[in-house]
Amino acid sequence: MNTAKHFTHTALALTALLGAAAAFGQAKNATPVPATAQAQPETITIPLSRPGEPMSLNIDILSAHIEVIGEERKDVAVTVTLSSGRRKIVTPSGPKMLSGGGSGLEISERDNRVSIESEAPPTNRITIVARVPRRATLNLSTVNEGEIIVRDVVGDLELENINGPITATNITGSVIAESVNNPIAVGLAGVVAGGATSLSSLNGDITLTLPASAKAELHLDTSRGEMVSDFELDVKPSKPRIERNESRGGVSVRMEDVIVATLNGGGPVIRVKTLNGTIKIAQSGR
Amino acid sequence: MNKQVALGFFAVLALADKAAAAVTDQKTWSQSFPVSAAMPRLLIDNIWGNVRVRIGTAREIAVTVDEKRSAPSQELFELSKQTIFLDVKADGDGVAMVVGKQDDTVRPRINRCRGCRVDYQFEVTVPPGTQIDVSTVTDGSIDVAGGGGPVSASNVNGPVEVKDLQDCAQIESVNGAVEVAFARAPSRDCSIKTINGDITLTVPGGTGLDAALSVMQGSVVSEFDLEPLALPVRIDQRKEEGRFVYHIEQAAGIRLGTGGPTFSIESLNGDLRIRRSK
Repeated sequence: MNTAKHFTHTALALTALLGAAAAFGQAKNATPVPATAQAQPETITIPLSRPGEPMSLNIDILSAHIEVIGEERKDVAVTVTLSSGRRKIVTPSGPKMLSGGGSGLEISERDNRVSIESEAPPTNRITIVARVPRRATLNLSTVNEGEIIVRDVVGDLELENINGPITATNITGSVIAESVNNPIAVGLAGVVAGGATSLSSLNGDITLTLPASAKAELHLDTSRGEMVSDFELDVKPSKPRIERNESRGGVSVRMEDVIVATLNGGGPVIRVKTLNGTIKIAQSGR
Repeated sequence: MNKQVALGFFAVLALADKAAAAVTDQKTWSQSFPVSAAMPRLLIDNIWGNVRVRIGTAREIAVTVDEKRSAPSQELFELSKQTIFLDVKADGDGVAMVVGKQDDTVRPRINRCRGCRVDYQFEVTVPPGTQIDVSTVTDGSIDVAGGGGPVSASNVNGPVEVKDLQDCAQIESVNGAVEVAFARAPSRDCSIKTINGDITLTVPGGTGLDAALSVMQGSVVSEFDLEPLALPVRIDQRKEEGRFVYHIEQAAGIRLGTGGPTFSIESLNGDLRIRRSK
Protein backbone atom coordinates (compact mmCIF):
# COMPACT_ATOMS: atom_id res chain seq x y z
CA MET A 1 0.00 0.00 0.00
CA ASN A 2 3.02 2.21 0.10
CA THR A 3 2.41 3.75 -3.29
CA ALA A 4 2.26 7.19 -4.80
CA LYS A 5 -1.50 6.91 -4.96
CA HIS A 6 -1.63 6.03 -1.34
CA PHE A 7 0.61 8.95 -0.49
CA THR A 8 -1.84 11.16 -2.36
CA HIS A 9 -4.70 9.79 -0.38
CA THR A 10 -2.74 10.19 2.82
CA ALA A 11 -1.94 13.78 1.92
CA LEU A 12 -5.57 14.44 1.12
CA ALA A 13 -6.62 12.84 4.34
CA LEU A 14 -4.12 14.98 6.25
CA THR A 15 -5.38 18.08 4.46
CA ALA A 16 -8.92 17.12 5.33
CA LEU A 17 -7.94 16.52 8.91
CA LEU A 18 -6.15 19.87 9.10
CA GLY A 19 -9.18 21.56 7.56
CA ALA A 20 -11.42 19.75 9.93
CA ALA A 21 -9.20 20.75 12.82
CA ALA A 22 -9.39 24.37 11.71
CA ALA A 23 -13.15 24.16 11.43
CA PHE A 24 -13.28 22.50 14.82
CA GLY A 25 -11.22 25.32 16.28
CA GLN A 26 -13.56 27.83 14.71
CA ALA A 27 -16.57 26.04 16.04
CA LYS A 28 -15.16 26.13 19.52
CA ASN A 29 -15.18 29.90 19.20
CA ALA A 30 -18.75 29.84 18.04
CA THR A 31 -21.55 30.50 20.42
CA PRO A 32 -25.29 30.33 20.07
CA VAL A 33 -26.47 33.81 19.16
CA PRO A 34 -29.59 35.47 17.85
CA ALA A 35 -30.13 34.74 14.19
CA THR A 36 -29.90 38.42 13.35
CA ALA A 37 -26.22 38.67 14.27
CA GLN A 38 -24.14 40.51 11.65
CA ALA A 39 -20.86 39.20 10.30
CA GLN A 40 -17.71 40.95 11.43
CA PRO A 41 -15.35 42.52 8.88
CA GLU A 42 -12.41 40.36 7.83
CA THR A 43 -9.25 41.80 6.28
CA ILE A 44 -7.10 39.84 3.85
CA THR A 45 -3.80 41.10 2.52
CA ILE A 46 -3.12 39.99 -1.05
CA PRO A 47 0.53 40.08 -2.14
CA LEU A 48 1.06 41.14 -5.74
CA SER A 49 3.13 39.13 -8.22
CA ARG A 50 5.10 42.26 -9.15
CA PRO A 51 5.05 44.58 -6.16
CA GLY A 52 5.56 48.22 -6.99
CA GLU A 53 4.26 47.91 -10.54
CA PRO A 54 0.80 49.02 -11.72
CA MET A 55 -1.97 46.62 -10.88
CA SER A 56 -5.59 46.14 -11.80
CA LEU A 57 -8.59 45.40 -9.65
CA ASN A 58 -11.77 43.88 -11.01
CA ILE A 59 -14.87 43.60 -8.82
CA ASP A 60 -18.13 42.26 -10.21
CA ILE A 61 -20.78 41.53 -7.58
CA LEU A 62 -24.55 41.83 -7.84
CA SER A 63 -25.18 43.50 -4.49
CA ALA A 64 -22.19 45.22 -3.02
CA HIS A 65 -20.91 48.34 -1.36
CA ILE A 66 -17.52 48.80 -3.01
CA GLU A 67 -14.93 51.24 -1.76
CA VAL A 68 -11.43 51.45 -3.26
CA ILE A 69 -8.74 53.66 -1.78
CA GLY A 70 -5.37 54.31 -3.39
CA GLU A 71 -2.43 54.38 -0.97
CA GLU A 72 1.35 54.18 -0.94
CA ARG A 73 1.56 50.40 -0.64
CA LYS A 74 2.75 47.37 -2.61
CA ASP A 75 -0.03 44.94 -1.84
CA VAL A 76 -3.79 44.95 -1.69
CA ALA A 77 -5.70 44.85 1.58
CA VAL A 78 -9.31 43.81 1.23
CA THR A 79 -11.73 44.18 4.11
CA VAL A 80 -14.87 42.16 3.56
CA THR A 81 -18.11 42.14 5.47
CA LEU A 82 -20.42 39.38 4.36
CA SER A 83 -24.10 39.92 4.75
CA SER A 84 -26.18 37.81 7.04
CA GLY A 85 -27.96 35.35 4.84
CA ARG A 86 -31.41 34.40 5.94
CA ARG A 87 -31.66 30.64 5.88
CA LYS A 88 -34.85 29.14 7.24
CA ILE A 89 -34.75 25.79 8.95
CA VAL A 90 -37.90 23.87 9.83
CA THR A 91 -37.81 22.28 13.29
CA PRO A 92 -40.44 20.56 15.46
CA SER A 93 -41.02 23.80 17.34
CA GLY A 94 -41.49 25.76 14.14
CA PRO A 95 -39.30 27.50 11.61
CA LYS A 96 -36.12 29.23 12.76
CA MET A 97 -33.96 31.71 10.92
CA LEU A 98 -30.22 31.19 10.71
CA SER A 99 -27.62 33.82 10.04
CA GLY A 100 -24.79 33.24 7.59
CA GLY A 101 -24.75 30.69 4.86
CA GLY A 102 -25.82 33.17 2.26
CA SER A 103 -22.79 34.42 0.53
CA GLY A 104 -19.23 33.60 -0.27
CA LEU A 105 -16.55 35.62 -1.92
CA GLU A 106 -13.52 34.68 -3.97
CA ILE A 107 -10.46 36.85 -4.40
CA SER A 108 -7.75 35.86 -6.85
CA GLU A 109 -4.47 37.36 -7.94
CA ARG A 110 -2.40 36.61 -11.01
CA ASP A 111 0.24 38.81 -12.60
CA ASN A 112 -0.84 41.89 -10.62
CA ARG A 113 -4.46 41.42 -11.63
CA VAL A 114 -6.74 41.07 -8.63
CA SER A 115 -10.28 39.87 -9.14
CA ILE A 116 -13.08 39.75 -6.58
CA GLU A 117 -16.22 37.81 -7.44
CA SER A 118 -19.17 36.30 -5.67
CA GLU A 119 -21.89 33.88 -6.63
CA ALA A 120 -24.06 35.07 -3.79
CA PRO A 121 -27.68 35.69 -4.68
CA PRO A 122 -28.61 39.35 -5.16
CA THR A 123 -30.41 39.45 -1.82
CA ASN A 124 -27.11 39.12 0.01
CA ARG A 125 -25.20 42.37 0.24
CA ILE A 126 -21.44 42.35 0.60
CA THR A 127 -19.30 45.26 1.73
CA ILE A 128 -15.78 45.49 0.30
CA VAL A 129 -13.15 48.07 1.19
CA ALA A 130 -10.01 47.57 -0.91
CA ARG A 131 -6.81 49.49 -0.24
CA VAL A 132 -4.68 49.34 -3.36
CA PRO A 133 -1.42 50.85 -4.63
CA ARG A 134 -2.07 54.32 -5.97
CA ARG A 135 -1.27 53.30 -9.57
CA ALA A 136 -4.16 51.02 -10.37
CA THR A 137 -6.65 50.26 -13.10
CA LEU A 138 -10.09 49.65 -11.70
CA ASN A 139 -13.10 47.89 -13.17
CA LEU A 140 -15.90 47.91 -10.61
CA SER A 141 -19.45 46.77 -11.17
CA THR A 142 -22.51 46.20 -9.03
CA VAL A 143 -26.26 46.25 -9.58
CA ASN A 144 -28.34 46.51 -6.44
CA GLU A 145 -28.32 48.13 -3.04
CA GLY A 146 -24.75 49.23 -3.34
CA GLU A 147 -22.51 52.21 -3.71
CA ILE A 148 -19.20 52.59 -5.51
CA ILE A 149 -16.65 54.90 -3.92
CA VAL A 150 -13.11 55.43 -5.23
CA ARG A 151 -10.48 57.88 -4.12
CA ASP A 152 -6.81 58.77 -4.55
CA VAL A 153 -6.13 56.55 -7.57
CA VAL A 154 -3.86 57.16 -10.54
CA GLY A 155 -5.15 55.06 -13.42
CA ASP A 156 -8.10 54.32 -15.64
CA LEU A 157 -11.43 53.58 -14.01
CA GLU A 158 -14.52 51.81 -15.30
CA LEU A 159 -17.34 52.10 -12.78
CA GLU A 160 -20.83 50.72 -13.24
CA ASN A 161 -23.58 50.83 -10.66
CA ILE A 162 -27.08 50.28 -11.97
CA ASN A 163 -29.12 51.21 -8.92
CA GLY A 164 -26.70 53.07 -6.72
CA PRO A 165 -24.47 56.14 -6.68
CA ILE A 166 -20.89 56.42 -7.88
CA THR A 167 -18.39 58.72 -6.20
CA ALA A 168 -14.78 59.05 -7.34
CA THR A 169 -12.48 61.71 -5.91
CA ASN A 170 -8.87 62.73 -6.51
CA ILE A 171 -8.52 60.62 -9.64
CA THR A 172 -5.74 61.07 -12.15
CA GLY A 173 -6.74 59.20 -15.25
CA SER A 174 -9.77 58.46 -17.38
CA VAL A 175 -13.09 57.60 -15.81
CA ILE A 176 -15.98 55.81 -17.45
CA ALA A 177 -18.86 55.84 -15.00
CA GLU A 178 -22.39 54.63 -15.64
CA SER A 179 -25.42 54.56 -13.42
CA VAL A 180 -29.09 54.25 -14.27
CA ASN A 181 -30.98 55.61 -11.31
CA ASN A 182 -28.48 57.42 -9.12
CA PRO A 183 -26.06 60.33 -9.09
CA ILE A 184 -22.46 60.26 -10.22
CA ALA A 185 -19.80 62.50 -8.69
CA VAL A 186 -16.29 62.42 -10.16
CA GLY A 187 -13.40 64.60 -9.09
CA LEU A 188 -10.36 64.61 -11.34
CA ALA A 189 -6.98 65.75 -10.05
CA GLY A 190 -5.94 66.23 -13.64
CA VAL A 191 -7.18 65.59 -17.15
CA VAL A 192 -5.03 63.03 -18.89
CA ALA A 193 -4.40 63.33 -22.59
CA GLY A 194 -5.51 60.30 -24.54
CA GLY A 195 -7.92 59.16 -21.86
CA ALA A 196 -11.62 58.84 -22.61
CA THR A 197 -13.73 60.11 -19.76
CA SER A 198 -17.45 59.59 -19.94
CA LEU A 199 -20.04 60.00 -17.20
CA SER A 200 -23.60 58.95 -17.87
CA SER A 201 -26.75 58.43 -15.87
CA LEU A 202 -30.38 58.07 -16.80
CA ASN A 203 -32.11 59.47 -13.73
CA GLY A 204 -29.32 60.91 -11.63
CA ASP A 205 -27.42 64.16 -11.26
CA ILE A 206 -23.82 64.26 -12.41
CA THR A 207 -21.13 66.36 -10.79
CA LEU A 208 -17.71 66.66 -12.43
CA THR A 209 -15.07 68.42 -10.35
CA LEU A 210 -11.94 69.67 -12.07
CA PRO A 211 -8.89 71.70 -11.00
CA ALA A 212 -8.98 75.39 -11.90
CA SER A 213 -6.26 74.88 -14.52
CA ALA A 214 -7.85 71.84 -16.20
CA LYS A 215 -7.94 71.94 -19.99
CA ALA A 216 -10.77 69.95 -21.54
CA GLU A 217 -13.46 69.88 -24.16
CA LEU A 218 -16.76 69.14 -22.48
CA HIS A 219 -19.62 67.45 -24.28
CA LEU A 220 -22.64 68.06 -22.06
CA ASP A 221 -26.07 66.56 -22.59
CA THR A 222 -29.07 66.70 -20.28
CA SER A 223 -32.53 66.38 -21.68
CA ARG A 224 -34.64 67.42 -18.72
CA GLY A 225 -32.21 68.94 -16.27
CA GLU A 226 -30.11 72.04 -16.00
CA MET A 227 -26.39 72.66 -16.26
CA VAL A 228 -24.40 74.55 -13.66
CA SER A 229 -20.72 75.45 -13.90
CA ASP A 230 -18.14 77.05 -11.62
CA PHE A 231 -16.02 77.69 -14.71
CA GLU A 232 -16.44 80.21 -17.42
CA LEU A 233 -17.18 77.89 -20.29
CA ASP A 234 -16.49 78.78 -23.85
CA VAL A 235 -19.54 77.30 -25.52
CA LYS A 236 -19.01 76.41 -29.13
CA PRO A 237 -21.81 76.71 -31.61
CA SER A 238 -23.15 73.30 -32.37
CA LYS A 239 -26.09 71.76 -34.14
CA PRO A 240 -28.21 68.88 -32.94
CA ARG A 241 -26.75 65.62 -34.19
CA ILE A 242 -29.27 63.51 -36.03
CA GLU A 243 -28.64 59.85 -36.82
CA ARG A 244 -30.93 57.99 -39.14
CA ASN A 245 -30.87 54.21 -39.23
CA GLU A 246 -32.81 51.97 -41.52
CA SER A 247 -33.18 48.36 -40.55
CA ARG A 248 -35.73 45.58 -40.87
CA GLY A 249 -37.89 47.72 -43.04
CA GLY A 250 -38.16 50.49 -40.43
CA VAL A 251 -36.44 53.77 -39.86
CA SER A 252 -35.21 55.10 -36.54
CA VAL A 253 -34.11 58.66 -36.00
CA ARG A 254 -31.96 59.62 -33.04
CA MET A 255 -31.31 63.23 -32.14
CA GLU A 256 -28.71 64.40 -29.66
CA ASP A 257 -28.45 68.01 -28.64
CA VAL A 258 -24.99 68.13 -27.09
CA ILE A 259 -23.44 71.32 -25.80
CA VAL A 260 -19.73 71.50 -26.56
CA ALA A 261 -17.73 73.82 -24.35
CA THR A 262 -14.00 74.27 -23.90
CA LEU A 263 -12.26 74.82 -20.64
CA ASN A 264 -9.05 76.83 -20.49
CA GLY A 265 -8.68 76.62 -24.22
CA GLY A 266 -9.72 72.99 -24.62
CA GLY A 267 -8.14 69.58 -24.24
CA PRO A 268 -9.19 65.94 -24.03
CA VAL A 269 -12.90 65.28 -24.52
CA ILE A 270 -15.03 64.62 -21.45
CA ARG A 271 -18.58 63.46 -22.09
CA VAL A 272 -21.28 64.05 -19.48
CA LYS A 273 -24.80 62.87 -20.15
CA THR A 274 -27.97 62.45 -18.11
CA LEU A 275 -31.59 62.26 -19.10
CA ASN A 276 -33.39 63.41 -15.96
CA GLY A 277 -30.71 65.07 -13.89
CA THR A 278 -28.60 68.16 -13.41
CA ILE A 279 -25.04 68.45 -14.67
CA LYS A 280 -22.68 70.41 -12.49
CA ILE A 281 -19.13 71.29 -13.48
CA ALA A 282 -17.44 72.17 -10.20
CA GLN A 283 -14.01 73.63 -9.50
CA SER A 284 -11.77 71.94 -6.92
CA GLY A 285 -11.41 73.82 -3.68
CA ARG A 286 -14.50 75.93 -4.13
CA MET B 1 4.73 -6.08 0.24
CA ASN B 2 2.77 -6.91 -2.84
CA LYS B 3 1.04 -10.15 -3.18
CA GLN B 4 0.34 -11.70 -6.48
CA VAL B 5 -3.36 -12.11 -6.37
CA ALA B 6 -4.31 -15.61 -7.36
CA LEU B 7 -7.83 -15.42 -8.49
CA GLY B 8 -10.47 -17.94 -9.14
CA PHE B 9 -12.42 -16.92 -12.15
CA PHE B 10 -16.01 -18.04 -11.93
CA ALA B 11 -16.90 -17.17 -15.42
CA VAL B 12 -15.22 -15.86 -18.48
CA LEU B 13 -17.23 -14.66 -21.37
CA ALA B 14 -15.86 -13.09 -24.47
CA LEU B 15 -18.03 -12.32 -27.39
CA ALA B 16 -18.08 -9.99 -30.29
CA ASP B 17 -21.24 -8.06 -30.90
CA LYS B 18 -20.94 -7.50 -34.60
CA ALA B 19 -23.85 -5.08 -34.73
CA ALA B 20 -22.19 -2.76 -32.21
CA ALA B 21 -18.67 -3.88 -33.08
CA ALA B 22 -18.24 -4.51 -29.35
CA VAL B 23 -16.13 -7.02 -27.53
CA THR B 24 -16.98 -7.88 -23.95
CA ASP B 25 -15.56 -10.04 -21.25
CA GLN B 26 -17.07 -10.69 -17.85
CA LYS B 27 -15.60 -12.47 -14.87
CA THR B 28 -16.08 -12.65 -11.15
CA TRP B 29 -13.45 -13.43 -8.58
CA SER B 30 -13.17 -13.57 -4.82
CA GLN B 31 -10.23 -13.28 -2.49
CA SER B 32 -9.68 -12.97 1.25
CA PHE B 33 -6.79 -10.95 2.65
CA PRO B 34 -5.84 -11.50 6.29
CA VAL B 35 -5.07 -8.30 8.19
CA SER B 36 -3.18 -7.83 11.43
CA ALA B 37 -3.42 -4.09 12.09
CA ALA B 38 -5.73 -2.92 14.89
CA MET B 39 -7.29 -0.46 12.46
CA PRO B 40 -6.81 -1.95 9.01
CA ARG B 41 -7.40 0.17 5.94
CA LEU B 42 -9.55 -0.40 2.91
CA LEU B 43 -9.01 1.77 -0.13
CA ILE B 44 -11.13 1.36 -3.27
CA ASP B 45 -10.77 3.78 -6.15
CA ASN B 46 -13.24 2.76 -8.82
CA ILE B 47 -14.31 4.41 -12.06
CA TRP B 48 -17.38 2.54 -13.34
CA GLY B 49 -19.59 0.56 -10.99
CA ASN B 50 -20.74 0.04 -7.43
CA VAL B 51 -18.83 -0.25 -4.20
CA ARG B 52 -20.56 -2.08 -1.35
CA VAL B 53 -18.86 -2.58 2.01
CA ARG B 54 -20.13 -4.53 4.99
CA ILE B 55 -18.67 -5.39 8.38
CA GLY B 56 -17.73 -8.96 9.18
CA THR B 57 -16.24 -10.65 12.22
CA ALA B 58 -13.07 -12.25 10.86
CA ARG B 59 -9.71 -10.45 10.81
CA GLU B 60 -9.69 -10.41 7.06
CA ILE B 61 -10.85 -8.30 4.18
CA ALA B 62 -12.95 -10.43 1.87
CA VAL B 63 -13.44 -9.16 -1.63
CA THR B 64 -15.71 -10.22 -4.45
CA VAL B 65 -15.29 -8.36 -7.69
CA ASP B 66 -17.45 -8.63 -10.76
CA GLU B 67 -15.55 -7.29 -13.75
CA LYS B 68 -17.08 -6.50 -17.11
CA ARG B 69 -14.72 -5.29 -19.81
CA SER B 70 -15.93 -3.89 -23.12
CA ALA B 71 -14.37 -2.21 -26.12
CA PRO B 72 -15.53 -1.20 -29.59
CA SER B 73 -13.08 -3.59 -31.30
CA GLN B 74 -10.81 -6.51 -30.56
CA GLU B 75 -7.77 -4.28 -30.98
CA LEU B 76 -9.07 -1.78 -28.45
CA PHE B 77 -10.18 -4.62 -26.24
CA GLU B 78 -6.57 -5.83 -26.05
CA LEU B 79 -5.37 -2.28 -25.48
CA SER B 80 -7.87 -1.86 -22.67
CA LYS B 81 -6.19 -4.65 -20.74
CA GLN B 82 -3.05 -2.54 -20.56
CA THR B 83 -4.77 0.71 -19.78
CA ILE B 84 -7.71 -0.20 -17.57
CA PHE B 85 -7.16 -2.83 -14.95
CA LEU B 86 -7.57 -3.39 -11.28
CA ASP B 87 -4.41 -2.97 -9.27
CA VAL B 88 -4.62 -4.76 -5.95
CA LYS B 89 -2.13 -4.34 -3.14
CA ALA B 90 -2.51 -5.99 0.20
CA ASP B 91 -0.55 -6.46 3.37
CA GLY B 92 -1.26 -6.79 7.06
CA ASP B 93 -2.31 -3.16 7.22
CA GLY B 94 -5.05 -3.51 4.69
CA VAL B 95 -6.06 -3.67 1.06
CA ALA B 96 -5.91 -1.07 -1.70
CA MET B 97 -7.75 -1.67 -4.97
CA VAL B 98 -7.40 0.98 -7.60
CA VAL B 99 -8.76 0.89 -11.13
CA GLY B 100 -5.80 1.72 -13.31
CA LYS B 101 -2.40 1.57 -11.73
CA GLN B 102 -1.44 3.20 -8.52
CA ASP B 103 0.36 6.15 -9.96
CA ASP B 104 -0.81 9.38 -11.44
CA THR B 105 0.04 8.61 -15.04
CA VAL B 106 -2.49 5.94 -15.75
CA ARG B 107 -5.82 7.66 -15.94
CA PRO B 108 -4.69 9.87 -18.81
CA ARG B 109 -3.74 6.63 -20.57
CA ILE B 110 -7.33 5.47 -20.29
CA ASN B 111 -8.27 8.18 -22.73
CA ARG B 112 -6.17 6.46 -25.40
CA CYS B 113 -8.60 3.58 -25.36
CA ARG B 114 -11.67 5.38 -26.66
CA GLY B 115 -14.94 3.59 -26.06
CA CYS B 116 -13.32 1.13 -23.68
CA ARG B 117 -14.65 0.67 -20.19
CA VAL B 118 -14.38 -1.81 -17.37
CA ASP B 119 -17.16 -1.95 -14.83
CA TYR B 120 -16.09 -3.28 -11.45
CA GLN B 121 -18.76 -4.17 -8.91
CA PHE B 122 -17.10 -4.46 -5.51
CA GLU B 123 -18.58 -6.46 -2.63
CA VAL B 124 -16.27 -6.22 0.37
CA THR B 125 -16.44 -7.41 3.96
CA VAL B 126 -14.04 -5.84 6.44
CA PRO B 127 -13.22 -6.39 10.11
CA PRO B 128 -14.75 -4.08 12.72
CA GLY B 129 -12.75 -0.89 13.16
CA THR B 130 -11.55 -0.74 9.56
CA GLN B 131 -10.70 2.67 8.16
CA ILE B 132 -12.69 2.84 4.93
CA ASP B 133 -11.93 5.10 1.98
CA VAL B 134 -13.96 4.25 -1.11
CA SER B 135 -14.88 6.06 -4.30
CA THR B 136 -16.36 5.61 -7.73
CA VAL B 137 -17.01 7.95 -10.60
CA THR B 138 -19.96 6.93 -12.71
CA ASP B 139 -22.71 4.37 -13.21
CA GLY B 140 -22.42 3.19 -9.67
CA SER B 141 -23.39 3.75 -6.09
CA ILE B 142 -21.48 3.76 -2.86
CA ASP B 143 -23.07 1.71 -0.11
CA VAL B 144 -21.13 1.37 3.12
CA ALA B 145 -22.12 0.04 6.51
CA GLY B 146 -19.54 1.39 8.91
CA GLY B 147 -18.16 -0.49 11.82
CA GLY B 148 -16.02 1.58 14.11
CA GLY B 149 -13.42 3.10 11.86
CA PRO B 150 -13.74 6.44 10.16
CA VAL B 151 -15.31 6.36 6.71
CA SER B 152 -14.59 8.45 3.64
CA ALA B 153 -16.80 7.86 0.62
CA SER B 154 -17.22 9.71 -2.64
CA ASN B 155 -19.06 9.44 -5.90
CA VAL B 156 -19.28 11.72 -8.88
CA ASN B 157 -22.38 10.63 -10.77
CA GLY B 158 -24.37 8.61 -8.32
CA PRO B 159 -25.57 8.32 -4.75
CA VAL B 160 -23.62 7.68 -1.58
CA GLU B 161 -25.18 5.87 1.36
CA VAL B 162 -23.22 5.32 4.53
CA LYS B 163 -24.95 3.84 7.55
CA ASP B 164 -24.25 2.39 11.01
CA LEU B 165 -21.47 4.90 11.30
CA GLN B 166 -19.47 5.74 14.36
CA ASP B 167 -17.41 8.45 12.68
CA CYS B 168 -16.93 9.84 9.21
CA ALA B 169 -14.30 12.02 7.59
CA GLN B 170 -15.58 13.01 4.18
CA ILE B 171 -18.75 11.85 2.46
CA GLU B 172 -19.49 13.43 -0.89
CA SER B 173 -21.05 13.23 -4.29
CA VAL B 174 -21.33 15.64 -7.18
CA ASN B 175 -24.51 14.50 -8.88
CA GLY B 176 -26.22 12.30 -6.38
CA ALA B 177 -27.97 12.09 -3.05
CA VAL B 178 -25.93 11.57 0.09
CA GLU B 179 -27.32 9.66 3.06
CA VAL B 180 -25.32 9.43 6.25
CA ALA B 181 -26.66 7.58 9.28
CA PHE B 182 -24.86 7.18 12.60
CA ALA B 183 -25.18 4.27 14.99
CA ARG B 184 -24.02 6.49 17.83
CA ALA B 185 -23.33 10.15 18.48
CA PRO B 186 -20.32 11.04 16.34
CA SER B 187 -17.12 12.15 18.04
CA ARG B 188 -15.14 13.48 15.08
CA ASP B 189 -15.55 16.31 12.60
CA CYS B 190 -16.91 15.35 9.21
CA SER B 191 -17.59 16.92 5.84
CA ILE B 192 -20.73 15.97 3.92
CA LYS B 193 -21.44 17.50 0.55
CA THR B 194 -23.01 17.20 -2.84
CA ILE B 195 -23.67 19.62 -5.66
CA ASN B 196 -26.89 18.24 -7.07
CA GLY B 197 -28.75 16.06 -4.63
CA ASP B 198 -30.41 15.85 -1.25
CA ILE B 199 -28.48 15.24 1.93
CA THR B 200 -29.98 13.18 4.74
CA LEU B 201 -28.16 13.08 8.05
CA THR B 202 -29.50 10.68 10.66
CA VAL B 203 -28.21 10.75 14.24
CA PRO B 204 -29.46 9.24 17.50
CA GLY B 205 -31.42 11.30 20.01
CA GLY B 206 -29.19 13.06 22.49
CA THR B 207 -26.48 13.72 19.92
CA GLY B 208 -24.42 16.85 20.47
CA LEU B 209 -23.24 18.37 17.22
CA ASP B 210 -22.32 21.68 15.62
CA ALA B 211 -22.83 22.06 11.89
CA ALA B 212 -21.84 24.64 9.33
CA LEU B 213 -24.50 24.64 6.64
CA SER B 214 -24.05 25.88 3.13
CA VAL B 215 -27.29 24.90 1.43
CA MET B 216 -27.94 27.26 -1.42
CA GLN B 217 -31.07 26.08 -3.23
CA GLY B 218 -33.16 23.84 -1.08
CA SER B 219 -35.02 23.51 2.15
CA VAL B 220 -33.59 22.52 5.52
CA VAL B 221 -35.78 20.35 7.72
CA SER B 222 -34.81 18.95 11.11
CA GLU B 223 -36.48 16.49 13.41
CA PHE B 224 -34.44 18.03 16.23
CA ASP B 225 -34.94 21.39 17.83
CA LEU B 226 -31.80 23.21 16.79
CA GLU B 227 -30.25 26.42 18.00
CA PRO B 228 -28.79 28.93 15.54
CA LEU B 229 -25.04 29.21 15.91
CA ALA B 230 -22.96 32.18 14.79
CA LEU B 231 -19.89 30.83 13.03
CA PRO B 232 -16.79 32.87 12.31
CA VAL B 233 -15.97 33.82 8.75
CA ARG B 234 -13.76 31.18 7.21
CA ILE B 235 -10.91 32.11 4.87
CA ASP B 236 -9.26 29.45 2.71
CA GLN B 237 -6.20 30.12 0.61
CA ARG B 238 -4.98 28.01 -2.27
CA LYS B 239 -2.92 28.23 -5.45
CA GLU B 240 -4.85 27.28 -8.55
CA GLU B 241 -3.66 27.37 -12.15
CA GLY B 242 -0.94 29.85 -11.40
CA ARG B 243 -3.05 32.25 -9.40
CA PHE B 244 -3.57 32.74 -5.71
CA VAL B 245 -7.17 32.28 -4.66
CA TYR B 246 -8.71 33.32 -1.37
CA HIS B 247 -12.18 32.05 -0.57
CA ILE B 248 -14.16 33.78 2.15
CA GLU B 249 -17.35 32.30 3.44
CA GLN B 250 -19.57 32.33 6.45
CA ALA B 251 -21.70 29.26 6.83
CA ALA B 252 -24.99 29.18 8.67
CA GLY B 253 -24.42 27.48 11.98
CA ILE B 254 -26.64 25.16 13.94
CA ARG B 255 -26.16 23.36 17.22
CA LEU B 256 -27.75 20.10 18.22
CA GLY B 257 -28.00 19.52 21.93
CA THR B 258 -24.99 20.92 23.73
CA GLY B 259 -22.78 20.87 20.66
CA GLY B 260 -19.92 18.57 19.78
CA PRO B 261 -17.85 17.81 16.71
CA THR B 262 -18.26 20.15 13.77
CA PHE B 263 -19.88 18.93 10.59
CA SER B 264 -19.57 20.84 7.35
CA ILE B 265 -22.66 20.23 5.21
CA GLU B 266 -22.83 21.64 1.69
CA SER B 267 -25.37 21.30 -1.07
CA LEU B 268 -26.01 23.55 -4.03
CA ASN B 269 -29.20 22.10 -5.46
CA GLY B 270 -30.88 19.90 -2.92
CA ASP B 271 -32.61 19.67 0.42
CA LEU B 272 -31.04 18.89 3.77
CA ARG B 273 -32.88 16.65 6.20
CA ILE B 274 -31.65 16.03 9.71
CA ARG B 275 -33.34 12.98 11.14
CA ARG B 276 -33.49 11.19 14.46
CA SER B 277 -32.57 7.48 14.41
CA LYS B 278 -35.61 5.25 14.86
